[in-house]
Amino acid sequence: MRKKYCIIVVAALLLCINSFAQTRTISGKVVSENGEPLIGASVVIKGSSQSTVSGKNGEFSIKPNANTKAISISFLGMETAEVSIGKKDNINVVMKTQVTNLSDVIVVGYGTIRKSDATGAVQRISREDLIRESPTNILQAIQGKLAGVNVTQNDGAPGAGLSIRVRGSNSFLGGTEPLYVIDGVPFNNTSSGTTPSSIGGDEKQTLNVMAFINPNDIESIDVLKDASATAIYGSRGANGVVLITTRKGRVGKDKVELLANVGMSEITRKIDVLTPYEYAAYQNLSYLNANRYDGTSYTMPYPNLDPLKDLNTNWQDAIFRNGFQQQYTLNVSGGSENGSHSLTMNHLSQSGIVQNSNFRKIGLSYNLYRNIGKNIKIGSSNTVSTSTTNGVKTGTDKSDAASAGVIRSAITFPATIDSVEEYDGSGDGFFITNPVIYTNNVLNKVTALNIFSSNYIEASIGKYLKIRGNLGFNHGSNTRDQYYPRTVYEGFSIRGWGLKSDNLWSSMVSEGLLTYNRKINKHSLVLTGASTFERSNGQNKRVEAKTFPNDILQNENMEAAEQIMPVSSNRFQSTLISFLGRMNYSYNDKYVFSLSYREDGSSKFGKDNKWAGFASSGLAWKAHKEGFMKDLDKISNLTFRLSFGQTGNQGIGSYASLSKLNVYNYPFNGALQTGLADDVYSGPANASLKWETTTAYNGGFDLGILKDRLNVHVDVYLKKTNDLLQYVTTPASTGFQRQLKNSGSVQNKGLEVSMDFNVINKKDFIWKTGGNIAFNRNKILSLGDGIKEQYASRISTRDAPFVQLAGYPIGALIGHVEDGYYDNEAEVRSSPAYANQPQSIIQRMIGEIKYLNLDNDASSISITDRMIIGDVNPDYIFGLNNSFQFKKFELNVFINGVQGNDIVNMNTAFNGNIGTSKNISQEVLDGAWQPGKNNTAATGPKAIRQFWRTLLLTRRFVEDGSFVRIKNVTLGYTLPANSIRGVSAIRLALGVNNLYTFTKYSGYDPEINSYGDNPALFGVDLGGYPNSRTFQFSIRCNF
Amino acid sequence: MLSLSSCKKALTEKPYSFLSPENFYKNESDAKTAINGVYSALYTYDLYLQPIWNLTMLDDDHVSGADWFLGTSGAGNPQGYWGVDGPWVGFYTIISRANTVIENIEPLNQNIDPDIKKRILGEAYFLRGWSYFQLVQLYGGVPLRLSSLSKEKDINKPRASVVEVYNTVFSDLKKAETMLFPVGHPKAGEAGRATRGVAKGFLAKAYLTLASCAVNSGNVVVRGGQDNGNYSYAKTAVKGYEGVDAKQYFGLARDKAMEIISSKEYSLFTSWKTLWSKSGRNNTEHMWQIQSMSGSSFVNNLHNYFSALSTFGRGAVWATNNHYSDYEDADLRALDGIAHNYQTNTGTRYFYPSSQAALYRVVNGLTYNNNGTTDNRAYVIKYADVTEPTLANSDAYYPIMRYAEILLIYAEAANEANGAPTTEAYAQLNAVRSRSKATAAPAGMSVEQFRSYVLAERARELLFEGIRRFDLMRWNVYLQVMNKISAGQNNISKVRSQRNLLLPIPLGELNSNQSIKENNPGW
Repeated sequence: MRKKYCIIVVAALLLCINSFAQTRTISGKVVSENGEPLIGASVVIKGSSQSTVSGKNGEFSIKPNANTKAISISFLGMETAEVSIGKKDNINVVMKTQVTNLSDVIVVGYGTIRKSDATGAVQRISREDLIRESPTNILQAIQGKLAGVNVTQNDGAPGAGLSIRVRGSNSFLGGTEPLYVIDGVPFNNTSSGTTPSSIGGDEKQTLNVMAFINPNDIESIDVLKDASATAIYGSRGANGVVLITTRKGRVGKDKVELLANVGMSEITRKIDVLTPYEYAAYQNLSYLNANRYDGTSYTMPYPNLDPLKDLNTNWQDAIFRNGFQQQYTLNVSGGSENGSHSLTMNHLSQSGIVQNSNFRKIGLSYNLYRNIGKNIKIGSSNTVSTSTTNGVKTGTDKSDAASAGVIRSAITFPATIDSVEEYDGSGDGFFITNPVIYTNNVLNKVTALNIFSSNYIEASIGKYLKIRGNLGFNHGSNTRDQYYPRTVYEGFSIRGWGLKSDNLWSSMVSEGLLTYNRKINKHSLVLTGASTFERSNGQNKRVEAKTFPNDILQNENMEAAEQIMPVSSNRFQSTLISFLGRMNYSYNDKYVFSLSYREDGSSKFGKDNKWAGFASSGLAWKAHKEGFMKDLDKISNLTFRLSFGQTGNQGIGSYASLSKLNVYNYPFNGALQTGLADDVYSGPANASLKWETTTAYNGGFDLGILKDRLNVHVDVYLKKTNDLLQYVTTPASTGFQRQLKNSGSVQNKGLEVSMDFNVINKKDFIWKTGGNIAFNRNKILSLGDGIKEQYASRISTRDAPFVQLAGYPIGALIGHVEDGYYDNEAEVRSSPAYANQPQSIIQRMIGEIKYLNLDNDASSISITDRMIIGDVNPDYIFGLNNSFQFKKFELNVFINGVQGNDIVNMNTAFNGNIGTSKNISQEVLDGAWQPGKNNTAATGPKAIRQFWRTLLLTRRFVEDGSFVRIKNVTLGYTLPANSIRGVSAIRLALGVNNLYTFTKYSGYDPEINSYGDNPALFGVDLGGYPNSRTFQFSIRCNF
Repeated sequence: MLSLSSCKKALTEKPYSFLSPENFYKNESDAKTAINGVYSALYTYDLYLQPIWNLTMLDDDHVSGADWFLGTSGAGNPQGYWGVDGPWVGFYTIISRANTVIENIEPLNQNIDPDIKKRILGEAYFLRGWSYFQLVQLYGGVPLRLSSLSKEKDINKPRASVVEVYNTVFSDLKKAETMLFPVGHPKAGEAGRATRGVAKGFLAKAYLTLASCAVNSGNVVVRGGQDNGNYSYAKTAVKGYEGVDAKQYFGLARDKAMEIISSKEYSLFTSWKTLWSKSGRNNTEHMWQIQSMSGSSFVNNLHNYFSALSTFGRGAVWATNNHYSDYEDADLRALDGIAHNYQTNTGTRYFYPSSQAALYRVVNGLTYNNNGTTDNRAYVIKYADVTEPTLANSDAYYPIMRYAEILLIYAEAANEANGAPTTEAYAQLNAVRSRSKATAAPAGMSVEQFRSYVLAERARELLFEGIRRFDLMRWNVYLQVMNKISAGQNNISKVRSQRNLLLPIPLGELNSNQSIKENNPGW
């Protein structure tokens, strides 16, 4: 940039000297494809040193000499144009936006490199691809677009979190979230880390921590996937690194851009539950069967069914609605050779498809860059955002309790009750609050404030050396307001239950960087060295009270409560100190070699293991530049890459290596006394606690054919993670339940292919297609010394199906196996498990599920009768995009899919115990075992009112979660330039998200992940907020 | 650039919101705080906040209630209940904390009153021994952990035999007996702490339990079944208790109970109502209760589940009509101890029982309802007198040991040790009966008749105090008595199988403790 500027200045001087000799003057105008005048374009007379710069309105004039044949016009970000001048004196030049692949510069952490010089797997999403679907958050914008980057929406609630896994899970508890680096500053937080705690810890739903970034503010996202690229982030690189670069003003005339987007969303499907009439008949049947098989003497609950025939109550209809969303973004930007500015204001308002749920955000971001003199540059990019999420209770692990959330209430609330009544502890609806009351009366609001600031000063020393200082700040403040009134189950018996909880969190990063960049003949060398210091501080507190005089003030007057729960607070700090170095060397632009090392010291680890080093190296060979490839002129790019590196994962909280005394009080004779004891959950101290270390190998090639009209990228990788951080179950008889240890190893290997193809490239019609597919295989190699198996936490009050076993992936499911049903008494008797049971037990087992006995003890079905019954990891994930451009119209169709993964559907576990007063689906009723019928096709036990049946976890609750989704279809139209006065460009777009999903999953939507970023509990549906189909209209105007 | 030493300093963690055990246990105040932390484990969702009474009080022949509440533990399906692992986790938490107290307070010789030190150690030994006594009854032989994890690093520990666990119970309780002060002593500490009498009481009870489990001959008569008839069952030794000299331990139980009786530290309340009122808490007859505190988080839902007035409309648990008919009409335990006339939150009035409509249908000009079937609920008053009776969570105290039980332990043990009821055995039994204005026990009973009578008397006296299930277990008649009923009142299933004799050991223990290879039978 600076060089170019110098040339321009010199050229201008020369022009002055030479001008005396000129006679002819050529004048003209330089404009962009949109017709915008380009100011500052360099205009050079070919074959001479004469040049000029376009001025106001893009106009220029230049005096060629007699033998001038052509002029060349260049402008940053545009393809250089060459115009033969002939006899014309007036030339208008339309500059084309530079469409390049190989010369793209990508961000790699502590610097940039040419994309063609990358030795590892790095993928970029450009602004154009990011904002096409008018996403409301950046993770949604990434979904499906990058090979090996699996983004899963946790549920469909506005503002809800998304989980992202790069190349499989490396960890049991360190998290799978990649490290986000925004304009060079690491963002050290997670969705679960920012979501304030809820009453009873019921809410498993996390809020999207990245929601504060407006996708419209992003220039590009680069994802570093392999270790040679991520090792520069050392102890935090193991899950991949997502580098976000925000939008800068461009050199040229000041621009104003306005983007408006409005949309409507609707539920994609409803669960087919029983009508009031069917429900009543089913209840009668359950009571009848109880009298028949269980020796009870119930009277029928619905002696007369006729009045119910005309009722059509479906509680899902009562809570679902059409949601609306609107988003407005105003951006003012501009720049000159001395710097640039960009200011964005953004407002997003989304109402969800469940009543009383919405998300609102106001964001402001501004970027300023300035050149101070010749050698110094400064820059600052900042984002401030406030948001409010009003949530409804969804996604809880209270799988068989009355506090299971609104979605479960909507699908199970008795259909025979047709009025909306407050919870009163009695009647048929006694087990759960009416869904309408539940949805509308409960307060659950999270308010967030985020401030992110990245600043630098950079000085050039001599020709080759640059020194740079970075300073980043990050502040997050989140508050939850929650109140269960006495009209819902949770608040009924205690007459109101209120909470205020918050967490405040801030971090500071200070970095010093040296870059040495030199080219000598065919040798090109870039050396980078840096030291960094990061400190994060956080605290959270929680005030909770019960029993309020009334519900009017909700949680705003906690002192009015009769029962003040113990106040809790927590404060923590962590520090990371690092030293790093990197070398990039290339010879003759054919062979590229990179080497990096980072030494990290983290406060979070045991006192014996604070420091560790992470090294990487990579090699790339640009084979297409070799002489022997010259003849293969169809091949425009063939690059082979090979890399190796080590990275770490330190995704655990502060103080995890220390032992703690916790407060455990006790009241003696009505007076509370302080008690202290070892914290049951934090376990014994572990001074040798350290990070998980991932060693990864990556090999790949990039192939470009026909001047890069077709590009193919292929990568294979192998990752092995050792010293897995895990809570090793400690026998409860020790008084501790678990201890955090480094134990065990896991392996991920995979293949990623991505491709883009410009199929048709005519003047009026362009068809581009692109896609990616990724296969990952995860396997636990060992759990560590002497540990045979471990279980992740329970996902309901009873079930813990996520087993960790060597040889199986993280996410393997263990469960019982069903073997049909007991059709008659003799069959029950012949089973060793029931042979010696009392007659009454034998009698009631008729029509019940037979479980396979897999262990040596035939006398009972116990936990040792379980086997691996599923795996939540997909076989492969893919994304496919097609875009068509016809004149000013543009049609984009994006399809993504996940195949071969299981989902644990805890909703069917919630209402599958057929015979309780919960409503059930038609499918469950139709499949029930029935006396006196042919039951070979039965899919469930008999309908019987009982409380003794425990449905063991089997494939009954584990479903195939594969899906293919038409994720987005967008039709765009660009109005001809200047068709409206004062508006330089207008683009209209009509789009639909989640148009259709092909799946066998019986729940609302297969894209569900109720435990958010918990890597050990992936793919569970806890009655999450359903996904929606969204229709959007957007208009983008440039002024 | 940072220097190395400043790096080191920057990376050293500074905990802000918790204390570290390394610099604790320095003085009397620390010691008190530490022992309080042991008691705290009682008040958790592992133990007395529900699992203990859900797994035990709902699981006997005299209990009926709402089918939705008695559907898991109350129907012989403890594994369907979320709290099934609670007792294991909770009692071992007490044990581990008691071990920590013993190890850290024992060496403390400064900044502490030696008497207080002795008492705190006594409390720790008591709580540990008492916990093992609960564990052995619920799970059979369990691993014996007598030092903390920081002292004994091996996390693997096999199950000890039943008798070995009892020996630990005896030795811990004997230590506690000598170290604790009698109730009322100025250094005995606040009410709610273990005292000498409580240690003696549980020593007597543990002797009695071991002895009665071991009896391997004779019969026990239990009234029950659908017809509430008298059924005789042959007594055999409980599995794991075979070969123990029952007579010897009955003798020890009798003598220990007599020590308490002769100490005159405790006495019976004269009024059954006062015994269960707020004013009776921690007093006279209540030897040890789980404490509670209104307006704090130390509240429980005992009242809500077990009383007539409840946020459920009416409480979820009541005594069976069959059991009610075991009381004489004038017995205060039925007259005052059962809610005969009550009004629900929503204003409906009910009376009990329908068979005594003449007495209870119309009282003071108000008419009460009872449909004769589902309304026939014998609600017990034991958890009814609380500070906030209209709330789901309130400050009910849970009785762990009551002087009346000591008298009944004496009667039972003396009869068994002697081979026939003694005069003193009759005297103590009748002391309990006469307090409630019940007639004296029939004279001239045989050893088996007296045994069966005391068993029934314990049920009458200690109804809903977490006793009955264990009584049926130790006399080894649980399965027969329960299955004799089959479908109980209000369609509560009383069907039980072999595996119901012991609780399942938690899966986490089996997976992590390499020395335990098998779960209890049937699990």
